[in-house]
Amino acid sequence: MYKRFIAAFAAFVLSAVLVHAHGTATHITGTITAIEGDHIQIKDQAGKPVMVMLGKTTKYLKSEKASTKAELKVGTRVVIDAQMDKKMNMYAAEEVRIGVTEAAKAK
Amino acid sequence: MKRIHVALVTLVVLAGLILGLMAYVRSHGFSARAEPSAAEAFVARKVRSFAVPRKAREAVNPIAASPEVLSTAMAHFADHCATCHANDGSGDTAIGKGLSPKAPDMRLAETQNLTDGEIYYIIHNGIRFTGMPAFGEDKGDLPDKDSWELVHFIRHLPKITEDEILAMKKMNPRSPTELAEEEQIRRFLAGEDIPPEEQIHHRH
Repeated sequence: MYKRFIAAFAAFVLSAVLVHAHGTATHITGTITAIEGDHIQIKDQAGKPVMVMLGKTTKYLKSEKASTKAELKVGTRVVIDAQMDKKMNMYAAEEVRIGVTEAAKAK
Repeated sequence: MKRIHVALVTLVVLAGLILGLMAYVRSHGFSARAEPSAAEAFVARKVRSFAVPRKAREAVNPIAASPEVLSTAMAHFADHCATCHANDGSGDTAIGKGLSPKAPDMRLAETQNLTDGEIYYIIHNGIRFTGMPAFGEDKGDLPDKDSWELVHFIRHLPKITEDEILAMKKMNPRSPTELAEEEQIRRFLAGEDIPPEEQIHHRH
């Protein structure tokens, strides 16, 4: 009992109040207009250009299966889960979902 | 005289502790954003370990590992745990990163070096003053099957595959807005144009 009391007291002293914070994760939905190394430019659904960084940990999915960066082409529709990198002032992609290309859609 | 002396020293120490705590709170606030210091984390881990009864620490998992058990536990984890801990156990979620202390990366030694009994005890009883709630019914000495199955899954986390993570994604709880957004994403990726007035922009 005494041990539990000490443990609870110490935990109280050491712990902060439980809160949860909202991050800056967002979905970027659009079509790739340019690919330059580890950056891709997207034209989002509102027609605005958005630059997104691709990293070593970025995951790629196509038809709900693991895919690769090689599948990204100009004209490909993508939905990107990204975090704003405040240092680079640019979105960093966590996951890229790959859809049809505009050329394939036109056929 | 000696008793008065002891009482006075105790009071001074207590007053010092309280003043120290007040100074700490005033300077650090109650924000959960800051990482706990190394000393704070070390002491908290020691206290947690100290608080787990020896019998519980040495408890052996009564459920044998099997593909079926792992599959059940995986679904359970995706539904109940992944919101904070992430499907891969990394803790890399909006809520997990916002907690104080932050949800640990359970693939690492800090968690994997715990005994099965300690992991079970934490799942079943939670950890007071953290974001970890107690799960499962309190059945006295009767084992909580779901929590023991989760112990097997937590042991599996360091070698979880991408395909397993993808499968878990489909089992994660979602709000009606998130479900609607998922459907919209599916339509967009398939080539459909979504009118601006229909577009859902959900932020995490």
